[in-house]
Amino acid sequence: MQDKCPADDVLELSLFGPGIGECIVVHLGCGDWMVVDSCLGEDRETPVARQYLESIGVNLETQVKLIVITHWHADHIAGASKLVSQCKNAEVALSGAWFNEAFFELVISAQCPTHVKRHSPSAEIWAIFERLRDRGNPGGHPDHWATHGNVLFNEAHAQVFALSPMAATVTAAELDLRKQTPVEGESILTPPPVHPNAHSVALLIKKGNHAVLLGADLPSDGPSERGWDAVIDSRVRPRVSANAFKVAHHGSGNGDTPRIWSELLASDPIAFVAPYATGRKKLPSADDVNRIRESSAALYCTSCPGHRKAVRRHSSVERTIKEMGVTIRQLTKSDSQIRWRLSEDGRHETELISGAKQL
Amino acid sequence: MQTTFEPIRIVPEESPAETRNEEFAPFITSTGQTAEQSLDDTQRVRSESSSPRNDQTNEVPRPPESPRLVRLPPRILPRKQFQVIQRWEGIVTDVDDKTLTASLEDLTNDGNPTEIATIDLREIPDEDLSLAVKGACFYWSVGFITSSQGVTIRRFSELRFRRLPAWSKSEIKRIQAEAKQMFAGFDAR
Repeated sequence: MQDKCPADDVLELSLFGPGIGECIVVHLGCGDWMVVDSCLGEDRETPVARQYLESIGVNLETQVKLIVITHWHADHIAGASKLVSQCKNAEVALSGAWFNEAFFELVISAQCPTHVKRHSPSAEIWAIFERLRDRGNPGGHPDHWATHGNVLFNEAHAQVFALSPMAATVTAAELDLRKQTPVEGESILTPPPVHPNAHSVALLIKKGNHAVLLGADLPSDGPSERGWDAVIDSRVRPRVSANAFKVAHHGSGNGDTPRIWSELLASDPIAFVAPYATGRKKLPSADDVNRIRESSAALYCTSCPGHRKAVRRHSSVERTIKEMGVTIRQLTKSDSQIRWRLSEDGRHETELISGAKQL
Repeated sequence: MQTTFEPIRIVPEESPAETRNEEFAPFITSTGQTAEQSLDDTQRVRSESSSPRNDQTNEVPRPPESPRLVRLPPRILPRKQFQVIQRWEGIVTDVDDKTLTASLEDLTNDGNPTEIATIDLREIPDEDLSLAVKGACFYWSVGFITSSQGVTIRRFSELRFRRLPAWSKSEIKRIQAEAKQMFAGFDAR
């Protein structure tokens, strides 16, 4: 493994994903870096992006130019406020679907002292607002409320485009979110806000003749004017075919459509996926893996369950767990990483670190 | 606004009459406690319930014989007879008609990593089933029920969901006013 910064002309993409979170770190060229989403490292305190960037000698304060939070789910946002605090020179982009009063009501209501803060994506969003307020951003607003067609980074050596959320999503978002705002007389016991994945910010990174597509959790099902079909049919999206794809929604079929592969990606693209292990249905499933492998030159996954040593417990506790028929499984190590580097001449290499593997 | 927990009322199946004596407080109080405070209580319960021979070492007393597991009924257990050896805080990440999936934080040993558990819904008390929704918070305790002499009678497992009060009109008005300000780009606080 090369533990040093890539050369100025190299596009680097690192994907971290222990099964409960996801984070992408991208070298855009000329020492400029971007972080997309956030998850925590092994110490459960430090964002993995910070751990990695510091390990290769990147100055977070000056070299990270853009932080994008693609959506509000807990597995994409842990530690993001710390990154915002540490990367003082980075512009921050949040989904434009959140720019409405209902969203702010949800975030403020989650500051109620009864909420379980350490699990709350709302608390993390609130902390981001506070860090942005510290910087002087009015009301703690981000630098970008990203929507389809926005350019989030624009330098000669690279450009970053927001492909979603679509206008129809933004229009519908306030109504979607209003369904979850507090109602008088109803219990405060509410789940963390469940937002449509259509609010996600999918991104296209363009560097010279090359491009990378980051699919966030954008769905292919649901109303056609809000998901991948709308992105693909758009007349304003950049007309480039991406060489690599961070597969949408942890490889799930509802984040995929053949049109992504035929109309947004070059032939034989490299595919990356971060698994989702905390739900009833683990992602990607065997079918998902087969489907993605058929469409790509290679599919890499950040981690696989069972990598971690089991937790030791009192024998009576173990016995109780067994008698109750409860299954408890370990998450994988959070420093599991796929690092992909692409040179200007098209040569590329993939490194699989700490449990990441090719599927 | 204050956190409210429904009282956890526990009694061994063969409860002696004195267990209903008022000198024994409920394991977790019904009002005004945060999760952290309730954890403090757990620690206190643990130390109080240690048998004399284990006071020096703080070790969990080994049961004289392998006790059977009981799912605690909703009654009152005297604090001195309830010894927690493992406690988790869980957040439900998924529910279907038979099981729930949750991420577990180990409250007994902070150093342990987050784990993922799949739990049969039949293990959830009937009165908590309606609370078992995605995102809900619960506490799962495992321990020993001991006699007043410190002898282990049996193991127990208790899984209870967190209860919170209802939103008030004034609270909602405050939230809406702050949201308006933030949306307009002003600092709400």
